[in-house]
Amino acid sequence: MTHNTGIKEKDTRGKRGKGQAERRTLSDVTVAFVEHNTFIKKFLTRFFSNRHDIEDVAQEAYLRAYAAEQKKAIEQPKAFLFRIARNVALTRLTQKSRQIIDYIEESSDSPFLEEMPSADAEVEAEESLGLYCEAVASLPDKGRQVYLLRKVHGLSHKAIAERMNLSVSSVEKYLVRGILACKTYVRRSEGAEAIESSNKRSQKPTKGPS
Amino acid sequence: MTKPEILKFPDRQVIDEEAAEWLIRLDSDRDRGAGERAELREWLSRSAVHREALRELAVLWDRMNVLTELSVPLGGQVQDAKALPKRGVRARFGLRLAAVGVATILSVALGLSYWLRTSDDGWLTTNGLYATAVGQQSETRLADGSVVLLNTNSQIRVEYGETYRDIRLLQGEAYFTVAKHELLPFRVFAGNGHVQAVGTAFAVHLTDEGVNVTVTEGTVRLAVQAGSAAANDSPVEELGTLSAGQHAVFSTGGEQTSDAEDAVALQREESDAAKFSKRLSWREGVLIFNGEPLETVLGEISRYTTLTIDIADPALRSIKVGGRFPVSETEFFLQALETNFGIRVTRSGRDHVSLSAANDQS
Repeated sequence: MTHNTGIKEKDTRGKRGKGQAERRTLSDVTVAFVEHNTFIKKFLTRFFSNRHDIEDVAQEAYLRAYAAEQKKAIEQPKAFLFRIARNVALTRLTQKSRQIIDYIEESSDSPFLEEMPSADAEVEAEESLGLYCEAVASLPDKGRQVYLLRKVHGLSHKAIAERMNLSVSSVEKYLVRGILACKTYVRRSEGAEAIESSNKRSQKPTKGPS
Repeated sequence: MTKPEILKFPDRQVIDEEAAEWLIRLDSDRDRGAGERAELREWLSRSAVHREALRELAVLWDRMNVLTELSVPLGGQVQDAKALPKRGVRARFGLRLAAVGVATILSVALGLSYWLRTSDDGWLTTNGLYATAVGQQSETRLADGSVVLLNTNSQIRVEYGETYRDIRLLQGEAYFTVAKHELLPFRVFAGNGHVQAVGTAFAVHLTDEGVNVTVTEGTVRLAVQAGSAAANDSPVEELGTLSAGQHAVFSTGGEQTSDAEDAVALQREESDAAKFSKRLSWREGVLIFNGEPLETVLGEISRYTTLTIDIADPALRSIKVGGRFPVSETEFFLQALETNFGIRVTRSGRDHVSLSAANDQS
């Protein structure tokens, strides 16, 4: 972050026309980052409500964009920065849901029943896109919108609430209903496909061992 | 099994609901206090059912991140965020919802079956012109046992002779399953490209840009003819071979022969299985899209209809669409765009359709 401020000062001078030479030494990406810093962060408030996350992602986006620029000139540095910022934000979304899984597993004193299949998760994900589209499309109107804002666009609960004129707690209720409905949908269609193959995955213990 | 505490367990539905509440709580940006962790720990300790219920939801929640593929690229979004306040943003969002809706609705109407048309007549009677209309597909078994599947708006001429089996793809796209015949080479001519099969199944698609060849089985040799495509015996330049799982494009430059050799460029591509099956899904009467922009989707779909479909509103072009679409149900597709997405479908004349964002133009 201090790095960032340093650039900003330099650039401001450049803008005032005193330090043209200095300014020229700044890369296009850097200049764009400085010029649009506020805008980028504002854009990132869609994804995160936590200021710390926003700063973090903005920095990461800048660093990645800068690194990319070293290899190849960037034609539209501003658009490029935003694209990267968005990608970083969406990547964080994935990291976040992984963290939730870890957190749940760490918070449990008893072990979970099976190893999670993750080896060909990517292939599976590709195939699942259509199924998930269907699952989401089966949600009622508003619930679907909320769900898509979260899972397609990665907006934070708060940003969704603002955009849809709802309270955060209603947004969360929609999400609760959404994930439950999706689970039911996905299970039903997976069950239909693999009914005679092993039931292992969907088979749930019916007795409490504890 | 008869342990009394079983009775104390709430039913599965209640557990699932609680699990979902936990998941969304963990998904929020709020700080997690130490108290929350203790609470979660307590909840998870209630039973294995609780633990699995929450983990199952968390895994699904994680996997559903693949949906981010459908989001519109940022370029447009940024501009809009600046230029238009909420109304515009929301309108566009509605369109994206609609994109998902269309995919779903269309996926209902899947599957086309084909009648295998067999002709047991002689070798020569198999020769001639075979064609499909726009939106039509047909499968034909030729006299040697090879099978040709013609896609929409396609034409081939079969020219079997005593020492060769030649096919000219005059227009469109065809998929060949070749019956083996060592003494009788099976050759497909398309543009000035020339594909020779070695016991093989492959597709050839003639487009304005060039000739696309996709091999699903065996090997094919690729070549171009320097002279006019019509002349069987003009000099041939070998370009190499393609094997199963490979795809190549010849760009056959101008029709003129002067420097035909330079005009031919071969682009070979090793495609992964998903892409590959997508490319050939038309054989099942289905087009598969995984988050392609609406523009691309329409480009594909327009091959199967006589309608001309324009996107009047540039913002719509990049809407991403995922799903499976039956190849020949264009009306259905348009209807779904209209009713589900707030895309306005304007028809002018009998066969022109233009798409715009309903809200932006009112």
